Amino acid sequence: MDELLRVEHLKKYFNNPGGMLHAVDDISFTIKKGDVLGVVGESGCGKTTLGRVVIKLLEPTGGKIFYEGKDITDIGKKANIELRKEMQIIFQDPYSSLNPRLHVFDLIADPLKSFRLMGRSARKDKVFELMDMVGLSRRFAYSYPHELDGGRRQRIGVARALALSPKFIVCDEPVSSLDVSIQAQILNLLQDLQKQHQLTYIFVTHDLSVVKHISTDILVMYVGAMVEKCGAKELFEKPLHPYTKGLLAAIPVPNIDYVREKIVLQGELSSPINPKSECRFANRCSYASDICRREIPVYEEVLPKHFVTCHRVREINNL
Amino acid sequence: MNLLEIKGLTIQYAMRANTIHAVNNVDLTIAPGQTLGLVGETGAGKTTTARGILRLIQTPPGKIVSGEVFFEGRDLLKMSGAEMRAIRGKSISMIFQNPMSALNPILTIGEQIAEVIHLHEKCSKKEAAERSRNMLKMVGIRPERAGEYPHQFSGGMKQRVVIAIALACSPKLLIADEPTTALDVTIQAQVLDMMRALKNKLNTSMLLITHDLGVVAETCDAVAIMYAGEIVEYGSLERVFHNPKHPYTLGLFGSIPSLDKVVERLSPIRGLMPEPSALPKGCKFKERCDYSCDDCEKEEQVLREIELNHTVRCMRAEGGGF
Repeated sequence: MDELLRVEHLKKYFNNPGGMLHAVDDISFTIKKGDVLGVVGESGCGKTTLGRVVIKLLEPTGGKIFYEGKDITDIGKKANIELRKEMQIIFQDPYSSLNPRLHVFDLIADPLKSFRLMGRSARKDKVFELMDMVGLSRRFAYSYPHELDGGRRQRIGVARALALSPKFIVCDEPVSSLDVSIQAQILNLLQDLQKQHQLTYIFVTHDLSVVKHISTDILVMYVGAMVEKCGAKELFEKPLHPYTKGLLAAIPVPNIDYVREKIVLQGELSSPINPKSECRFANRCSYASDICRREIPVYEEVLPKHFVTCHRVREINNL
Repeated sequence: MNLLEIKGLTIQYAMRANTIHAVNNVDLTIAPGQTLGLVGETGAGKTTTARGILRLIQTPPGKIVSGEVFFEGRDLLKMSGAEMRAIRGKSISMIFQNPMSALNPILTIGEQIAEVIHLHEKCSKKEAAERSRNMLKMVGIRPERAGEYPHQFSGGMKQRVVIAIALACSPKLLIADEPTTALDVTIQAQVLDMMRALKNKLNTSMLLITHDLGVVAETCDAVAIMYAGEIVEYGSLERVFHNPKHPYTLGLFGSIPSLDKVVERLSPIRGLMPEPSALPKGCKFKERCDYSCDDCEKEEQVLREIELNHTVRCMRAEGGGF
């Protein structure tokens, strides 16, 4: 069996003064061992919440999560903590996710200490080994985070996530706060580590070119719901959902000879608080008809391994 | 005649322990109606250059050490404070990076747009308010919302308001400092689309500061690549994008994951940008460059013209290049 993680009808709602905020609404997917699932969407679409619920940093409101075939949805606090050895997360902002009062050595040793995995001297060796692994020079071991630039800080984040040798890592926008040249360094590092250690990633990002580069499959989210999911290559060659098409057309491409269809999506994201029972994209969609404003579309396999949530997907794409 | 001509602009910040060389000897020109993209990473000196044009450098610690900024033939750096104030927001206006913090939270957006008009156009408050509603309509916000406060708008909408303020007096030059960096891609596409249309309608020239080469490809006529306070490559959009010559520009293109091609592995630029307080002698990019040789540090690199409308600050880029 090569399935590592399976999520069924996952929901996470937050109680908001204005009503229930549907951050993650009915999401299902499977990730195979060694694969990278890219999760894309605009800010506020629930992609970070999804990543956190999947590794149980947040308790889901509904649905099931299976890790290596085992149901981990309601396993209790203690088992949750044990799970950290298997599943880890790299946080978005390397400026706020590191304790400013610990130096690099202690930051990386932290997970090893909390699980009492090894003695002091073995731990020291392990920390230096991790620093080598993520390309962080040993001379920074006793520097504080504020003395390092964003790229190096993110390397600390990667080393911390790797410390317990997990099999599964949620990368939550690990490169979005970095400059392009540094971003490329970290992306290459994450790719190398994934190959060397046969890691499985969920890669959360708003940047479609990054997600295309690193993912096996891509899941597109819109206001808490899944819109489209398929192989990375297929998504870029044959996007089926009107939102995905608009999203792809909106990315500025640094190639002046690259011609493509021009679609500028009008309007803005609808509110995730008490969503109406209609297609959430209907207010921005140029194909929206009566049924789109009346019923929530179902998530279905339109082409082999290509899932779309849209009432009119077959009509629009002549399938 | 060029609308804007910057010659040898040098800006430094004098800190207690050392001097930060933020902008070093920058030359740029913008023709009427032209859009120039100024590209570079964090700390390259892009924003300082833009603020230098409008003399918005906080002094101390900052100081425009030398250089000339000719706008319609007159040197802005030699003008009096009153003359400068008459230009800011009227002939040259600026869109600041973060729309969330560029607006005053306790004034309605209508008041904020009317303020510039009232100040520069010597018209009545009533007329200014009327024109501010027209501006809102132009940037795609319902004029009825003029009485609302910034917090009632989303990020993309706030950026539209900021653009409305900047364009309210039909400036000849618009300086846009990362106008879409804080926005989502679909909203970014809307805002860029609108800026392009308005620019063409009003025949405004633009200096667009960004770190995104994709945005440059879609909006600019010319591009200047900035590194460690210097322009390292400068030319028309076609020349620079078809024939990038400086190793740093090549590195930037190699670092971007491609949407139109399959790339197995990115080729990032190794290392980091040098500290602007301790810039190396000779070529500033030498430490990170795959093509550097001993001569690179011996002499100060100058911008050399390698073809028409294309200059590069690299001694080895001349001739065949790499």
